[in-house]
Amino acid sequence: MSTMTQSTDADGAAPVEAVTGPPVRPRRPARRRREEVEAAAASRGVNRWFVLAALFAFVLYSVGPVWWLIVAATKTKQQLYRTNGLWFADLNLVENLQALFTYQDAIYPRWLANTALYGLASSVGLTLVSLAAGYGLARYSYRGKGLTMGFVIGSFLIPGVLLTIPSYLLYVRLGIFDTVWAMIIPGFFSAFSVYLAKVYAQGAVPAELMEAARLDGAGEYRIFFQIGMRLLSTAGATIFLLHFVGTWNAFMGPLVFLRTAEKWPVMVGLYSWLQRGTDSQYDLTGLVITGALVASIPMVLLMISMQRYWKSGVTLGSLK
Amino acid sequence: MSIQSVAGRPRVPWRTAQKWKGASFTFPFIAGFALFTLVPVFLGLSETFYTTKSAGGLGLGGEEVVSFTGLAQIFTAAQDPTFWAGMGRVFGFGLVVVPLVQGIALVMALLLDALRRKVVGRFRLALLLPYMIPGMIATMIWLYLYSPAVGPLTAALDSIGLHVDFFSSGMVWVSMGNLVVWNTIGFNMLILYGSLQSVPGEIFDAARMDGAGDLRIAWSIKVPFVRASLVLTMLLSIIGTVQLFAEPTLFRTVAPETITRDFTPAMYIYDQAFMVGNINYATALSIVLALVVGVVSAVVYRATNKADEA
Amino acid sequence: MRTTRRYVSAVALMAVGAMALTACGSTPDPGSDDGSPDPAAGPVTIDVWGWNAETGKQVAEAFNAAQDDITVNYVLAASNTATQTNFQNLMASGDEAVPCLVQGFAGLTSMVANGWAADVTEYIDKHPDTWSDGAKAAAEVNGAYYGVPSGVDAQFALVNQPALNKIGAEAPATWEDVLALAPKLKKEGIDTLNLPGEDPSGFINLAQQAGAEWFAIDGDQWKIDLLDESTLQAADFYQQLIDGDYVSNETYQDRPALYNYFDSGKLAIVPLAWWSMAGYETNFSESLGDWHAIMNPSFAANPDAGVPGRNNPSFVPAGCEHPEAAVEFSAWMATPEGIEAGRDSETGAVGFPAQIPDASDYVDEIVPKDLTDQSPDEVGKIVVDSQAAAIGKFEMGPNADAWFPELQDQWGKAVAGKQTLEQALTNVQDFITKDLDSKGIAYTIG
Repeated sequence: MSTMTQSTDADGAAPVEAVTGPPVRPRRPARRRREEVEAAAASRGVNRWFVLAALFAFVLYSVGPVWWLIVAATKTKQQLYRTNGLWFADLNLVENLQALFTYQDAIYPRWLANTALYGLASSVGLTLVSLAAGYGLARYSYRGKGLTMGFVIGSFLIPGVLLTIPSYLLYVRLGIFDTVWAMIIPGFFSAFSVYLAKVYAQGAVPAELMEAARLDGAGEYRIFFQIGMRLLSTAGATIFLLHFVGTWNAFMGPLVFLRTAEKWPVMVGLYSWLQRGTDSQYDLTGLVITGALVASIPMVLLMISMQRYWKSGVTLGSLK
Repeated sequence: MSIQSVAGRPRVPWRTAQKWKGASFTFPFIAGFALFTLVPVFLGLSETFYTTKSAGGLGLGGEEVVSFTGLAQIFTAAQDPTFWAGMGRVFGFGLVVVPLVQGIALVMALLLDALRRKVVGRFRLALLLPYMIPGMIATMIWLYLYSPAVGPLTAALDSIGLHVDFFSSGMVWVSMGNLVVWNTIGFNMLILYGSLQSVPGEIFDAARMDGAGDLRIAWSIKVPFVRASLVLTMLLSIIGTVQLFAEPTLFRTVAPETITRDFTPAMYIYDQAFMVGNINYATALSIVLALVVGVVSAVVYRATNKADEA
Repeated sequence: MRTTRRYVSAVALMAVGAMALTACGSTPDPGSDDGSPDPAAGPVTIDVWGWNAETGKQVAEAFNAAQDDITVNYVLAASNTATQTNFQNLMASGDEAVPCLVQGFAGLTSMVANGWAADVTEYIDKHPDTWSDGAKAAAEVNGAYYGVPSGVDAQFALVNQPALNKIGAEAPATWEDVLALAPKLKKEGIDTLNLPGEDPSGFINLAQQAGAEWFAIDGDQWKIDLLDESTLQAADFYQQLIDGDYVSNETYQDRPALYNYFDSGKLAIVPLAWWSMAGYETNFSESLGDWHAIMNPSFAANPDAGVPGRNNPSFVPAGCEHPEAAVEFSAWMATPEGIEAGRDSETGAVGFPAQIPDASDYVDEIVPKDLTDQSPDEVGKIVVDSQAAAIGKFEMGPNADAWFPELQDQWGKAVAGKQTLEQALTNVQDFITKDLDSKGIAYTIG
């Protein structure tokens, strides 16, 4: 082939490759390239076993202790403390579940429903507010931004215990004390989630993309909703999930801001059952264990259903 | 690229409009944050400027004398030996636990990233499970596992010749450390993993074609890419460790001769606020604590962000 | 504890947001001012706070059905601590809608010191025979009733009969007997008592029984003495046990291990109150039938001192508009009708009335069938006699919440052998005096 044609081909192909990496090597050493790729694949094969083994060890460490919980949930009260904690005794799971769902006038399903409501509602709001704020902090520069960042980080530093009484007073003045709104609205505002969104947005939303959209005539808000949020799907999923889990497991806040037992989330309910045992003749530890196991199922389901949001590198296809 | 005003009427330059629109993305957060966080914080912090005493006598009847003492409480707090002793303990603890947690979380995130898409989900779920387990349940689980009498760990270690008592004073730090690690690595891993997803895949192909092995890729490409997230998780880890409260409170019941009521700064603050009933001093202590943590965080942030373009 | 003045002024300083500065006003209750329910105004409604999830509401409903003057609204809290947090917040907000009866979440004197408990002596005096002496004593501070008698948890003991048989001894009647048994038990590899390092309440009970008075009221000041003869007598008893290594240190935090250990037959004596028996029966297997209930041992020099027993009584918050209604409700709960209303529909058992003078009609429900080698009647008699003989009152002073954690720490060190109990008591006393100084409360020592 003449050199002219080759270079034309190379030139013709250049603009695409220039954006995504170093230019493709000339086709001449094709055999060598395939060998390289195969060698790399082989070494990756060896590494893959190592990766799986290491991950398996970590999984054992993470999930192993939870095994105790699963086993304990199947035991009767009598056998809970007397038998080996890591293996089953008489299987009593069905009876335990029945007791769980009927105790105290079937308040447990109510608690679960409350928690689902608080978790979903506050997490949706939080994700929107945080992604917007993180996006704004990351992609625009304006005066007062440093101050915002300072306040954000500063807010992590105050121990929550001291804010109990002032927060309580605030909620009473706002009229949201002992209402579901006390669990939902304040949950929209988390400095940590905003900072997380900012960090992700800096990496995932390139300025070039926004400029290109502006050239196409899109307004700032449209850019955010149509482009930014899609690019930030991983960030959004992470924020949503972490907040949902946090809300699901929270009990200090609800303890202070909710007085009526019917409005409690599930952890406050389980905590109240756990405390019964320490100063009275009722030992509800079995119910608490079964209740905790059942309560973790929605979180697991949520995580599974959100798998698709942890995508990688969606940025580059959009550039021309 | 500024657009000239057509009719001669002054218009807001579009750069300024853009800046305002950009800022407006943060307005919902700022409004809510100001209301639900800043207002209570300022109200709460104002306690430090006062000193409360009983009206005297038997102290029955709830009469109080509240006097304005300015910064005196904060000065006393800043010189409190109990506070600094606790601070020393959590710093020492943090020096070991924070790198450990971050290191393990990073390794887990990298390992996950090296897997094929199909199996990642299951592993990710499994690794996040400890974070999903609520604290009081995690406590129950580990109390059982640690138990010298009925738990499996002591028995297993015995069988290989190691005699360990997880509830003894000597092991208390290790036992607490393990509890902190177990509880937090999933959370940190998820954040770092999410950050890894924004690394463009093409860079890997290019690097592989240059002959780089997986470890080299991980170290030289992936880690720097997630540095911003790593700084965030590290700061949170530091803040959380300095505010260590739940684990020592738990272990106080099994090793009371070692862990006292004011063993860590957070326990000291809680004790002053709710047991001794001195909210003024407790607030002063937490201000000093916040300042210390703020300084440490700023130092860490600066040290790791020299090249960050922000 | 906290007044609203500070918050209002701080809020005025903070010009942030649209904070409504209208105080929470409530219209005055149409009831008459002298406190007695005015029949013409309709039933009086009072809020009662507690954490009794099993029977709290149903008892309130039964009371409402049984009469027309008072309507009780039971507000369930998550726990002891939750009630405390909630109540503290309520007091801080200055809200005038204050409940009229609150379950005792902390020591009564602390409630009085914070100005939270109202003096209800005139209403308690209207019911002279309803409550036991011990329950009433526990509700007194400085000679007046600031609490509503809610019960008392009298201490008795279980001895492990096979353990005693091994050394050919009888059940001990005095603490001196216990000390004599200790070395013999040790030779058989058996511990005499279990002293948990985190819980000094057994020690406080013994001091109470010995006649100690850590806080006494002397005119307008407190008289503090943690090192009086009685306390030192109690301390000496424990010190001998600790020094001789006759005790175990199982913690209540590690419950399976604790039950396992108690069940193993390696522990001779377990002091307890009426509510622990059910748990022991559920969780013991090997030692069921080995235990023998006895009255709490006494000190030889003072056999009629009574039996240890303390309680955090419910109280009527200051600001409640109908204190007499609250006391009426409590008094009703101590009647046979009231006790029956507390029958748990799940277990079928009635709540043990620990506040009445003679609980013999109800003791069957709580005596386990298999735990002891005695008939339930015999065990029941011990419980009833103990309840009747409970001392009830042990003054913990106005700053009990402050020094109790200190006692926990010092006790832990003493039990671990790092210091003597006398040293521990000295340290606690030092702490108490420093704390009272900083609070501006008057006291003398000794």
